[in-house]
Amino acid sequence: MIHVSLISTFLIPLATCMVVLLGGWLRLPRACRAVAGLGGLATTAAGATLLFVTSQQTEPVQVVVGEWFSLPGQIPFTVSLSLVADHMTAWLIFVVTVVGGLIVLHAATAVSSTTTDWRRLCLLSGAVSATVLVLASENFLQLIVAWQLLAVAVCGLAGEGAADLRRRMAVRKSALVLSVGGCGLLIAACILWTTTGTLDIAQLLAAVQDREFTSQETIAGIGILVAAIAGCAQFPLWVWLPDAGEESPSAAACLQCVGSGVAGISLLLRFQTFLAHMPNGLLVVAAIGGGTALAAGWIAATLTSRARLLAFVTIAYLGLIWLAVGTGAPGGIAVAGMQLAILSTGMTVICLATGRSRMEKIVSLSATIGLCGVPLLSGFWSLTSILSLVRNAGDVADATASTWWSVFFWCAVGAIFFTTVGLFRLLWPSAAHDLAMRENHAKAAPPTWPQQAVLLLLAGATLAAGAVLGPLTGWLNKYLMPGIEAVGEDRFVQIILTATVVGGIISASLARVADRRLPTLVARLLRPFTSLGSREFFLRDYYFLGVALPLRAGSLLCRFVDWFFIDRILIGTFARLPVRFAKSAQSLQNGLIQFYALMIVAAVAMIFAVVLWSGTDVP
Amino acid sequence: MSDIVSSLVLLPLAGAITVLVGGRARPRAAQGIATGFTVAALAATIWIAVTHDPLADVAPSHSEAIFYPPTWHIDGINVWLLVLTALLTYAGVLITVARSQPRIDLYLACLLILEAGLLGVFATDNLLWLFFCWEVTRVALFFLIGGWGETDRRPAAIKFFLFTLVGSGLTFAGCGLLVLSHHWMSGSAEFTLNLRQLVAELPQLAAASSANAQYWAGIEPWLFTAIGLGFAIQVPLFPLHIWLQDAAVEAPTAGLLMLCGVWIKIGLYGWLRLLLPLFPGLCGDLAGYFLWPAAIGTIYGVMLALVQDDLKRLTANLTVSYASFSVLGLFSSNVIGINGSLLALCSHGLSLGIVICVTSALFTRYRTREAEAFSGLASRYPRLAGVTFVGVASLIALPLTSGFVATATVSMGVARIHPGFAITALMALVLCTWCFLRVMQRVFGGTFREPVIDHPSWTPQETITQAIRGDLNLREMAAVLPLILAVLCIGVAPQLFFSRTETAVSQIVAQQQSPSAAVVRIDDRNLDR
Repeated sequence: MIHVSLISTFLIPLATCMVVLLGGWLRLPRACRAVAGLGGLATTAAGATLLFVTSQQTEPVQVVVGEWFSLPGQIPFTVSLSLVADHMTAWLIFVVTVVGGLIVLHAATAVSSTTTDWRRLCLLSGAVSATVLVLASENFLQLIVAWQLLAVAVCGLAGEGAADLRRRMAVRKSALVLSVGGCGLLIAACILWTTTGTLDIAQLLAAVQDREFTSQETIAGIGILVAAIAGCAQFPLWVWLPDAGEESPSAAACLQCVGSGVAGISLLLRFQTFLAHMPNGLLVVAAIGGGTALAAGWIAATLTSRARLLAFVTIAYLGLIWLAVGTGAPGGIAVAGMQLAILSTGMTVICLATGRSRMEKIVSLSATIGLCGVPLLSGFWSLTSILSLVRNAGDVADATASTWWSVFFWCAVGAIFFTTVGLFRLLWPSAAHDLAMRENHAKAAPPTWPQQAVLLLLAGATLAAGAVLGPLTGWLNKYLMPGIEAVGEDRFVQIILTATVVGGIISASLARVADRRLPTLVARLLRPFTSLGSREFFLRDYYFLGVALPLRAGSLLCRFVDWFFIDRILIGTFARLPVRFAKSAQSLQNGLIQFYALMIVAAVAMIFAVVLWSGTDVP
Repeated sequence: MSDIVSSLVLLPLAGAITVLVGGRARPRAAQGIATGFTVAALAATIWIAVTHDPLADVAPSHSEAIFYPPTWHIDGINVWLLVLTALLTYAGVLITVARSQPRIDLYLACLLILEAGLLGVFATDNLLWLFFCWEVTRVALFFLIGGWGETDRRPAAIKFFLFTLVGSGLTFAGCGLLVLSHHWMSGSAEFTLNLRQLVAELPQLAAASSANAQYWAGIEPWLFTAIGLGFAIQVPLFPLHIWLQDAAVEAPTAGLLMLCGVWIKIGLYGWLRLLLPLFPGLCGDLAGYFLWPAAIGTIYGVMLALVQDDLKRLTANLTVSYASFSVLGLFSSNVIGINGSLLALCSHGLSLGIVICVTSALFTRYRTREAEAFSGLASRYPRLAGVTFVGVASLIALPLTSGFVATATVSMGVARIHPGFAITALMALVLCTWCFLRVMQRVFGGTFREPVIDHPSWTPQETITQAIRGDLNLREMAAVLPLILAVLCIGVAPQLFFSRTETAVSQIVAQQQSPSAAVVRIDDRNLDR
């Protein structure tokens, strides 16, 4: 039963993807949607079943499919195909399959607009399947395969036809960043296999723990970090998610966030012990998370494009999870798991509820207040835990590190403030940007009844999950970290968080009317939230100036070197020689035959020259 | 087995004669005959690969024959190269548009002679036959490029011939010296030209007496330089790659397919057959002289490709990058790296073959290869887009294609020498992804736009025929489908490939560590392989 439930979380979405693909080729759009809807439901059920059965187990569940390939040698190179799920993995699979399955169901039950919807359904199911494979892979090379497949699905969702230039650019950025992540993983795999002699992640981590950390392993750690940064769209590899989110349909956008975000966080959690060994590894994780959270939150608060705003809010919340993991505290894993679940459900509801119907407004409001940290709701408990962890880390660290942790704490507070402003600005768009919002809403068709059910379910989960999993029952802590106490309540943090969230909500409300009703000074203070909004936020310039232009300049330089130095100067000099020889016999064309003969004679002469040179030693 | 291989090499030659006799006035008949012979050769190579016993690779070889009868030997090193040659020749024959090619009979005959030569190069066990077949391939390619190439075909063909001839001359000198050295050190009255015998006996002879050891120590660097540099031009290793670009751009489709897909692989094959087993010490000590140019070449080739709009030129530049990548695996001198390098050779040939076929199909329809000229072709030509996707997916090492397994194994192998090389190679892969995405999006993405067709050399009949354009037709699909199947088969089940190669590669690696090779200093890092 337990093995079946694990493998079905991977196989059901994969089978759905294949069947939908087949249906698409056979031009059966209705059948495709029916299969996708059923597949989505079955995926959700499989994820829930897995969570239930693993809660009865203490040991990780493993399903070995077989050996993919192997090569002999002093260090045998074996790549096995297997799925492994401990409690943390099962929880992440649960989050992905439930949210992913419901997203697929939502997409399948939408009022069809085009005959090519099957492509989206196929890619959505494929993305869920690939994410499960990333989470449950025990072999490093299998993990890379899964990562690349997820990248293909994410890029496909971002492109989906790639009709205009912006969408093509979005695909290109996503593919580049995720392939950088994939290469980071491959570099890490190469180095760790060389130093430990195994590709099995558990064995590899155990081998590294027992000895001194080498410089090569630091490079491997950086490779893993790069992959996690790319997956979670953290600074500096965050350029892809906002573009991909903006150019994708809403269902695709939320699955991009959920899929790649969970994959990135799972990498971070799985290699937490390894990163802890790295010099300042966890501090770097925390710095990246804290810095990205603050910057992305700030950008989100000043944006007017709904999709970009949601993408930046997601990046900010993922940054907060990085911060929690970066503390290295045992409770950080449970906190990350809880925040990830709330983020996935909440962002999915906000992304999907794009219409103006009353029901959509209600679920959107519920998800927003559940997510952003309104007291006694889900987000409040998880954000309190994150802030408490960061504060505690500062208390136990040395003087220098303590300063850093103080900075991170206030970065996190700032990020929470800005994301609250951003999320509430979505609910209360200002008059100046109402038009842009309306354009988005106008595209959305009213939800069908299965879509309404999906939205209500997810919104309810967002509101209640934190309380049920965290402070009221402590279930998640007992499940993920048995024997380790949950993060204690910190009144100071709770007060700060409450004040921040309330301040954010008030700011968003005031920003709505800033230019018209408020005194000049207050309006000027709030102007960044109302007038600085830009669709691009300079990311396009950043991408072109930082990445595209230097590469193009490098390419042109190589072309010049190739043409001038190598072809004209270096080889041209030698290449002119045969022509000179050939002039002595013009009747034979081009000097080719003479040169041919010349080379053969030269070769024979060389043999004799060498023989004569070393001839005295001939035995 | 020897008779079968002899027949295999003779089959394309027979095909060439038949085409010349029966296909002069009937282009379609000529293509049909050539296709029949290439299919037969392909079937024979697949049969050889399937029935090949890897344990037979370790059998010793002794032959008294200088030139005739030819001796053949099939092992894990060459078995897949034979299949690759046959596959690409088949694709090259089928992708050719018979009615638009002048003197199609001669063209196909050249192609079949080229196939025979390549099969001979890979299958022979005799040094003289190796050189003979190698020269045959060079001459055949020279005529293919010079006779049926693009506008500047003649200078390109001459450049190709001259440059590669320098490499050939150097290798010829090196190998001649090798035979003489064996003759002198063994004290035998006979000359031996048997490749495996030379490789097996020379290190032992060098260690047999102090006089031999002294002689070998003096001559070894000369031999290493001649053979190493000679094959480096053929690979082509940076900065000796300059001949490839012109030759590839000016070559006709089938010529390009054979040149980039198989012919340049002779260089790596030569290194693997001669350089690694004969000079294990020098290969360890001087590996940097190959690894550094190869690492630069991987990045350099992609950087050049990034600014190309001509799809053929892009292919040629990427070939430099992929060949350099295989060199990295080869000089890692461990089982994984060399196996990966062999797979990379085949994978690159197959994937690039797909891309070249697609480029040819585009050129047939629009008489241009400029990526800028196209847009949104996926909506009009879904089959073309799908086929290109598979080829590109393998080239950018997406999972479940042969390219991924090749990249992973080569990276793992080369990381054992120095992780820096693996990192460089993988960075080149990221750039390659960018390069292909840019081209794919430009050609297949966006709204449909096709180039204006106004080619002065077209006859009215041609214009009418080309004006009725469609997706890949049956002939073109038949050409690329085996390549796609091979790419996916290896990607899904790489053990099929490695089960044939691992024994032969292990033997080479073991030979590098054998006591007889210990007369030359082995680097410490080689000890744990």
